[in-house]
Amino acid sequence: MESDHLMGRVLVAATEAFVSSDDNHLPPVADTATADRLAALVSQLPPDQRRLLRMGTRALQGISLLRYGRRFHRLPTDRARRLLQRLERAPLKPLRRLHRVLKMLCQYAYFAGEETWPACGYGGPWLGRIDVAADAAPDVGDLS
Amino acid sequence: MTRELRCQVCVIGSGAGGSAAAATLAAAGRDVVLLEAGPHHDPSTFDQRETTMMPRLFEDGGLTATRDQSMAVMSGRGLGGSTVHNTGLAVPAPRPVLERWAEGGGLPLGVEGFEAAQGEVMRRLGARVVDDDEINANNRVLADGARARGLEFIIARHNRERCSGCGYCMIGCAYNKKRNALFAWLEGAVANGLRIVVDAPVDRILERGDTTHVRGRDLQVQAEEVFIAASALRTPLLLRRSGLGLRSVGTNLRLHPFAPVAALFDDRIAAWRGVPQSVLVTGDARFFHGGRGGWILMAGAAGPAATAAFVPGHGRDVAQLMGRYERLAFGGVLLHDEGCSSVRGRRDGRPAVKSWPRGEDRDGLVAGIRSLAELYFAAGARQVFLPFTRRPRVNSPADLDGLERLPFRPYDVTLSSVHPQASVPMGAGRDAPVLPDGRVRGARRVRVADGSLFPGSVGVPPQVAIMTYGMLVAQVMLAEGSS
Repeated sequence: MESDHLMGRVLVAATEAFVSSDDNHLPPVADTATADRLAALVSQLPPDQRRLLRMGTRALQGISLLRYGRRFHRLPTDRARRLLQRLERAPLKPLRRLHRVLKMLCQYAYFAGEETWPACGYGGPWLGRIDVAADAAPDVGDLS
Repeated sequence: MTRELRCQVCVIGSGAGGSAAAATLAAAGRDVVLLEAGPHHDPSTFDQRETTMMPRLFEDGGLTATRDQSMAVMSGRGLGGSTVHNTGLAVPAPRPVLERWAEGGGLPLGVEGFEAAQGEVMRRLGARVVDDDEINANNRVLADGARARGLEFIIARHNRERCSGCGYCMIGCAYNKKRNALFAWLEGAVANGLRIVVDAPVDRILERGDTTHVRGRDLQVQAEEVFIAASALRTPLLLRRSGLGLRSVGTNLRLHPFAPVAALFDDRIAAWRGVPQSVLVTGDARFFHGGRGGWILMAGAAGPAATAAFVPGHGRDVAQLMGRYERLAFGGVLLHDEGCSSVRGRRDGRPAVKSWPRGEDRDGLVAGIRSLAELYFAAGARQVFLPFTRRPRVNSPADLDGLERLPFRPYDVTLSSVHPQASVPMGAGRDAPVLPDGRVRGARRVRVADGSLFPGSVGVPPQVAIMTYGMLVAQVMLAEGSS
């Protein structure tokens, strides 16, 4: 669906704005599977929240067009970041809400990926790396 | 085709309260059917990854929030409910809180009876004090800071055995070391004849003559008695859909709002590793003494994605903070909230929670954030990261000046909740939706048996108190001989 595709591009651009910096040691968003993880997260949202997110990203495109003459996903990262910072302190509650939702979704999706973990010093799950003898699972019988 | 079952007692919900109630009834020889809306999770498939486990173990993939999305409100799904993904904290309700609840008729067997039952629950859970060598760096800095600040703290009891310390309790123990509700209640109850049906959401309950009908998507159960234990967010919704209970059902909700605070240290902390939440700083928890007011300072969630979701700032701030992830301690303020939140049903049946701390709750959270920041500095932190958008980081205690004057509107402060409770409180008064025997006011054979019953906020992680209510409501029914 075209609108979902566009929403995905807005979310990826927002992620870049939230996590990248000049002295960045983290991998660029484009080099990670963040877009796929964002799509998976959006698909898990209840329909009403998905609808609101779609409206929110459209609003962000509109605000960007008015302020900078370009849609959000085409903005240079530093301008996209400034726009998001303005949203965070906006007097209007729906704009602050949009910022909160985007920030949680984008940062969660980016750092959930193992591509970012070495730069964070996080070694990842033990499973497959460190042997731990599991106890027997509780027997709760036939659940059909 | 609709499947039909008959039993003496139907228990709806298999979390802490429902499991305890069902097991208590089955042990007494009752024919019990336990319905769980979610699936049974096989621990051998738990992969210790947030992206996989959050959608499996939490409602709405862990993305549930208040109606305006200003506060994340998470609850479990699947057999065992939130006991599958909690950190294993086993903390009994403090006596002063119980005394306050008893004054309003909110305890089934009075304070002594409730405390004795909590002792039984603790034994069931195999709760033990976390060993000194199990306290990880994330919790040790809390203890160090509390000592330096002269704040009381306790080493908590947990329901874990031979724990490896991998640290993934909050996304499900892959090694079966956490003694959750399946170990503590359900395994034995099945041996006593309990029948469990999973993937069985309930639509409504109908009282007809001497029988109560529980209607689900493709399942119908006829029972003499029904216990609802669908969680503090969903129990009131089921009551409303069924036309049961007072109009006030769902309006007394408490959430234990949690304000996250992080601190940067010189040494490696690796907060994600080891036993989480072993140190509870109770020095500001006035409810431990007078039954009301105050907060607990404790460690918080530390997985990389869940952490990052709450990291303040933009661009360089986020990159630098996550770049120092292994040197960060994560904690937060768990508030004993007094103000009421509410939960209603959305059109699609999901809960719509309305909540934002005001008045003394807001003041308590801000004071708690200040207290935790000062504690971290006293423990040697270089920087402390606050949940305020207007002041995301401070470099010294002096930078905490004016914290109370910062905006505290929705989205100005990051808050979350994993302890919804008290939405259908028990009490002796005419305005209490549930009577002291657990029966829903106005209903004949429908009782509540989960954390919805708390008359107010319990203040401590609620697992033990919820199980105790579940067990006691079942015992009261058995004592009546009504089934």
